[in-house]
Amino acid sequence: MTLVELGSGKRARVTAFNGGPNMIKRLADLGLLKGKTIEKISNNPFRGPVVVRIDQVELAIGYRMAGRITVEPV
Amino acid sequence: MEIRDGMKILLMGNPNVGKSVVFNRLTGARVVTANYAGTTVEYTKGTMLYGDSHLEIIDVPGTYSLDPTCKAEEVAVDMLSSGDLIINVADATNLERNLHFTMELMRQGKPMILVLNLWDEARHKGIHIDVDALEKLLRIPVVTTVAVTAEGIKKLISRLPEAVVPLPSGGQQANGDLWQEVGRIIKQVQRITHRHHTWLERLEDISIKPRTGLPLALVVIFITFMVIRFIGENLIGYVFDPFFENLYRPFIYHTVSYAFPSGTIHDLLLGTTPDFIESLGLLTTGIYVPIAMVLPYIFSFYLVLGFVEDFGYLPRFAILMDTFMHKLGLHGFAIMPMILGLGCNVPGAMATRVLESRREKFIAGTLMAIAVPCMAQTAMIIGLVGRHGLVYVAIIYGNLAVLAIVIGSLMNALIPGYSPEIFLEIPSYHLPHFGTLMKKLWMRIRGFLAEAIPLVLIGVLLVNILFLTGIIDMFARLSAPVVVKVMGLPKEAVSSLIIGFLRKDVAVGMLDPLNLTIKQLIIACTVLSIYFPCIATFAVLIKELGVKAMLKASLIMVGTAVVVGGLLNLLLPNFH
Ligand SMILES: Nc1nc2c(ncn2[C@@H]2O[C@H](COP(=O)(O)OP(=O)(O)O)[C@@H](O)[C@H]2O)c(=O)[nH]1
Repeated sequence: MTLVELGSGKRARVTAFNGGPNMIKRLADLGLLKGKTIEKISNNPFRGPVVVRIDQVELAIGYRMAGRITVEPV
Repeated sequence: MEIRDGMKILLMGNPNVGKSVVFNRLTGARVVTANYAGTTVEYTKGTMLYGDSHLEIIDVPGTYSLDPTCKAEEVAVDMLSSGDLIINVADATNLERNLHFTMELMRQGKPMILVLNLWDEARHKGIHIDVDALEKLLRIPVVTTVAVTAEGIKKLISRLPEAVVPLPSGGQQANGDLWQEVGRIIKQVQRITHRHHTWLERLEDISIKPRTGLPLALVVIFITFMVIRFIGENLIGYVFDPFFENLYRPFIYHTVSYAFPSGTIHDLLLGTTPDFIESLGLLTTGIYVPIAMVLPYIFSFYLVLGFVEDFGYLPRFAILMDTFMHKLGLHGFAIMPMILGLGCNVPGAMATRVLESRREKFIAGTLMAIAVPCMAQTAMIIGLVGRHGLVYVAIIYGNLAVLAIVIGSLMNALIPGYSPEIFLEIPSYHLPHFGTLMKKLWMRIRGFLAEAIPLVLIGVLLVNILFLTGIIDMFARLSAPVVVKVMGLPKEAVSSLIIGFLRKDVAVGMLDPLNLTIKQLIIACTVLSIYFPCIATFAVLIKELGVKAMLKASLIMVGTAVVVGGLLNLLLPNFH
């Protein structure tokens, strides 16, 4: 499933990025890497951004970008 | 390495790691800092005295990597080659990502020293870092600091000579391997102990989840507004007004009347009526408006803004606003320039730089110029319109808010391109450090005084010249069809619109002697905000957007002002 579909409060492992090297790099810069475990904090209504926690940090990710991140619930 | 006179030292690191605070500590300079990424977009230079040597310290914009993907990073990479020594400032609470940048920097062949800042926060969060082990693994000096209290800064300075060019560790590696290497180091040096969530962390969750966050945002907006108004009003009522009426007035009237009993100079300095707002004298209106009417609100606004900024609330607010801002062709982070613009449009205009595309910058800059009145204007509106009832102030701001939505949606629909998505790190909440807050407040107040007072004085002088030479009459006759027929204002209101190019506060003040009806006051104040930003903001916007784009923006502004002025004249009832 994608990050958008993951329920709030659930934890999951990042398994794939459906995007070009640019997107992958931008995500990696902020610590979002394949294999990382993340915790979803919230969804915003009307295709708003998704908020996740990785390690100690919270990130806000736009809806479209979040839809291109595949995760596997743990 | 040996520390020489004239050496260039670069401060580098991820955004929002406290680099600017470290910079201020090292140089004694004053740079505005805030708890969100993107506060330092252009670099800042300062000098530090080291023994007898003067070292040049450069605060490089924060970057996540050395592979430039955005403007701020380009600047950083360009500057790298000119530095003699790098102080890499890292956020100890987020070691992994920061260390990735450190490892990238270590390949640049420059002498380096690593600073683990926010050490106090790391302690609170139960993050333990074995500094000695890290130093051995990286083979560069590692110092821990709490920049806001200066803890560790002396140590950092004393260890500068130990900075060394890092040894290459295992040749060229692909990006993925670098993350693995960072991971290995983290395993060896970092330990995180479990602890209970603090109330600040619970508050973080409450303010980011839409269901609780949106109501909370309304509460925050309401409280900030009340606090700003409470402080501003009481400062004026109990401090500034008594001072100006009881001490300042007798003093200047005596002094000036003694030197110039009557005549042009007397009138120029004191004006022709005793009222501080209406007299249009350099020493009366020219001093009273910026100091007694505007400064108290500047003080209270920046006091509150500084707190909210350093607390870390703004990025969360930006995320909640993201969906809405997309309707205007922007994303949530564009709310930052707007909020700064409520204080003064100049820093607001500069902050549009954090937006990615030209389209966004154009929309944000134009929207701010049209619909975001600065605190100087707001203070005057509260002072002059507010005495008829706060509801009229609310109508003016309601007009502007609706206008922002209409113009923003139109620009979004008509300007080709799309709005990029938000993607940002949300800093954790921390209780602001009092000293840092006060320093920031003082810098901003000093900036206001230095910028505003000369322009206000020039504005008042100009009004006098325009009146004396009759030029105002000419303008009044020329623009009468629009100002009188369309907007329903008296033709004398033109003088206020002319001065509004220079300063909005004086311009609003000039409406006072015209005895406008409440409806006319509302129209005039709304139009004053829309038709043109002040000259200082205009200059910054030209720099940010270019002349051609600003011409377009100006057309939008003037056109909007006429349409809105006319509509309000048609639609607003005559309040009694
Ligand atoms: N608690 C704590 N806060 C800090 C420390 N250093 C900086 N800050 C705060 O962290 C925020 C970001 O600092 P700033 O210098 O603007 O970061 P920059 O973007 O790296 O220049 C500000 O609110 C600072 O007051 C520190 O050592 N401890």
